[in-house]
Amino acid sequence: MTFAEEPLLELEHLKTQFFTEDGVVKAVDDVSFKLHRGEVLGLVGESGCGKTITSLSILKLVPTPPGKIVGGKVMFNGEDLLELSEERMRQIRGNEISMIFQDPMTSLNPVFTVKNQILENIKLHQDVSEDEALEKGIELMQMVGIPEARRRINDYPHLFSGGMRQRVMIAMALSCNPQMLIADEPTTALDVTIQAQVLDLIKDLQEDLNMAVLYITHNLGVIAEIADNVAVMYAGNIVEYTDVNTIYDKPDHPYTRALLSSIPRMDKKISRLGVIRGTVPNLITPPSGCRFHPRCPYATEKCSTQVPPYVEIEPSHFSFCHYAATL
Amino acid sequence: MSLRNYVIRRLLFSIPLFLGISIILFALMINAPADYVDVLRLTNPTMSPEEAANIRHNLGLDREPMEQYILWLLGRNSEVGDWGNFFEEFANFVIFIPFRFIQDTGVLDFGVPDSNFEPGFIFGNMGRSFTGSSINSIIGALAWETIKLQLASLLMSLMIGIPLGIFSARKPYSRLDNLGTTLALFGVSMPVFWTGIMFILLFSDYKIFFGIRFPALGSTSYTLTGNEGAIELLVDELAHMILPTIVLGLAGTALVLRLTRSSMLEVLRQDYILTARSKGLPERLVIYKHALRNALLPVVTVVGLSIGFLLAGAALTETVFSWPGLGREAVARINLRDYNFMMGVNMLIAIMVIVSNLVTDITYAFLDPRIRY
Ligand SMILES: Nc1ncnc2c1ncn2[C@@H]1O[C@H](COP(=O)(O)OP(=O)(O)OP(=O)(O)O)[C@@H](O)[C@H]1O
Ligand SMILES: [Mg+2]
Repeated sequence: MTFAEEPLLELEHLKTQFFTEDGVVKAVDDVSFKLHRGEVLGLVGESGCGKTITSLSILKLVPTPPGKIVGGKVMFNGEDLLELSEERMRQIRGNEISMIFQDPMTSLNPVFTVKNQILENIKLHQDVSEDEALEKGIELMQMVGIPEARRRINDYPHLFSGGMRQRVMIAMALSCNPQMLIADEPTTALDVTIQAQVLDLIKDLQEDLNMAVLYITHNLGVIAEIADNVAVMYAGNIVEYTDVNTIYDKPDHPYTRALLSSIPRMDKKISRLGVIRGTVPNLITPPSGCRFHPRCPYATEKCSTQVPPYVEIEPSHFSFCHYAATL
Repeated sequence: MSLRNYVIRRLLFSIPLFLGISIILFALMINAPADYVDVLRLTNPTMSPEEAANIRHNLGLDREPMEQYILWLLGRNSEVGDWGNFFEEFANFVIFIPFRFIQDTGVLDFGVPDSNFEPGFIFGNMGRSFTGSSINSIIGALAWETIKLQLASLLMSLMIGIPLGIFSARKPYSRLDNLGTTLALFGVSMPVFWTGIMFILLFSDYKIFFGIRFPALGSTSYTLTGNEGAIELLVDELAHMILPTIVLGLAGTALVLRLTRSSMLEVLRQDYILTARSKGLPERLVIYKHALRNALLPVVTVVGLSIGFLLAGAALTETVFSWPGLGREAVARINLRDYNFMMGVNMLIAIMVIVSNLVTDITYAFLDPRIRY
């Protein structure tokens, strides 16, 4: 899929670190990617590789202290968000960029009604009366498929199931027609059948509203369903970036390949699922050179001493490897 | 279940609870070594054994414990001894209550005879203290002084403890947080009699606060002539409250501060706070709307339950400041082994605890929609 030239969001060499007693955690290290209007970018990677911190950095919601964005740019609509005042940032959050989270059981405030929490967002960013906001809220609840929305909007979150709560979160996130939605593992905490429903809902709404979506997951299967492009993240770095078809057919980076061989597939016969040797590196003292080298089957001397370049193997297919396109 | 049914059920359940408490308390009192008369004999060593026996008999202390308890609970007649007679009088008294009540208001005269039956605790009459006065009227006169002091210090602990707790949680390990938590630790660790005496020394004797001598004795000046105006009396009363309120409120403030801080820290880590921030809410709303309501739940519980002990809680402070309150009186009465008085005060505390528990639960249910009755 091709998109208009000018990206909606462009991360340039973003660096976010946590200054803890044990040392500096380099959670996001030199991350760059682009996201266009109407595009869904999947951000995949193992637990702890920095996906959430990347998305929180975009909204400037990294818990500070100990966290701090130490470098780079977050260009959104041509503005560097990192330069903006907190006040201007607040106008962007929930209005131009919204976010939904992994665990719908804990991401709604238990002591306020759903109505209170949805309308709060609408009234914060739009100049509407209480009644208009309520109608809009009910409309949103209907849009995300909550039955009896008019009655249920008065309920407290604990009266909704996990899947319904995630729908409420989505309704809330979409209440101001944002240009971009960050979905941080929005289906991970749900039952499998409910996962599929919520995923379909996000996909449908994304198409209807022509939103850009940064879809975070550690599940490559989900990526196939929803994403246009994929960024694979490993230990704070983006190691491969390409479109969704290439990632399955011609993955380049050894980590991406290892990830793919570790999930079952319908279209290829594999006798055994692959396992990635070794453990996720700690981000206080990450491995030198290429961070993946201790676990990489192809690693050479060079990999442990020199940081690899971003190689554009084909147009819009980047691999962060010394041996890109040669393995 | 509706709220009303819940309250009714809880109140019904508290009746057996109540009887249980009263039986245990009564048993403790009766079995305590040395009674009122033994204490009297300490101050009056020449009292003859006959005299002592006589006083015991008049106070009813020579009766069987069970008999004493029933008389305390239901009521007593000047001439008891025959149980048949007692229950007859008791029944008469109970049956005529409404008529006597109407007759006393002077609207109608039913010709109900005067009864020399003195109603017991279940009629709200705590009886007579061993020194002869009505316990209801002693407590009535002293309770307000105690409540006044307690409410003022409660107000102080909430008004200082909550904002400081919030601030500490927002800037943990900052200078103000460290100062606050150190002072809080000090506040909860220092015994009231020590802080009380220090305050009296510093603010009353040494006048370190701009040379002002804060009153530190009693709840009003003993030099009052009776010709003062209302404003003057009020100022005098308030001035006397300052030191005891602060001393009593210190521990409470420290407790509320620590509770608010830890619970706020906990809440600020929750996902829904991140949700609130990701909506673009100003920090003020994130803290005071989304976080505070959740963070205050444990504070409500602790403060609510401590209100139950309001009448008893100030005994030390009252003693240090010679405050004419219930706590100080209770301590004096314990020394006298005035069991009737102690039963009255203890039962009153039990009632307050039961009621404040109920009120706390109801408030909690209002604040936290997840709680069902
Ligand atoms: N408050 C914090 N203090 C210190 N380190 C942190 C903090 N928050 C995150 N990190 C570190 O940052 C790194 C990236 O964390 P992040 O939450 O972005 O991972 P993730 O990719 O979202 O993982 P998951 O799939 O488990 O959600 C982790 O190594 C984590 O230990
Ligand atoms: Mg995460």
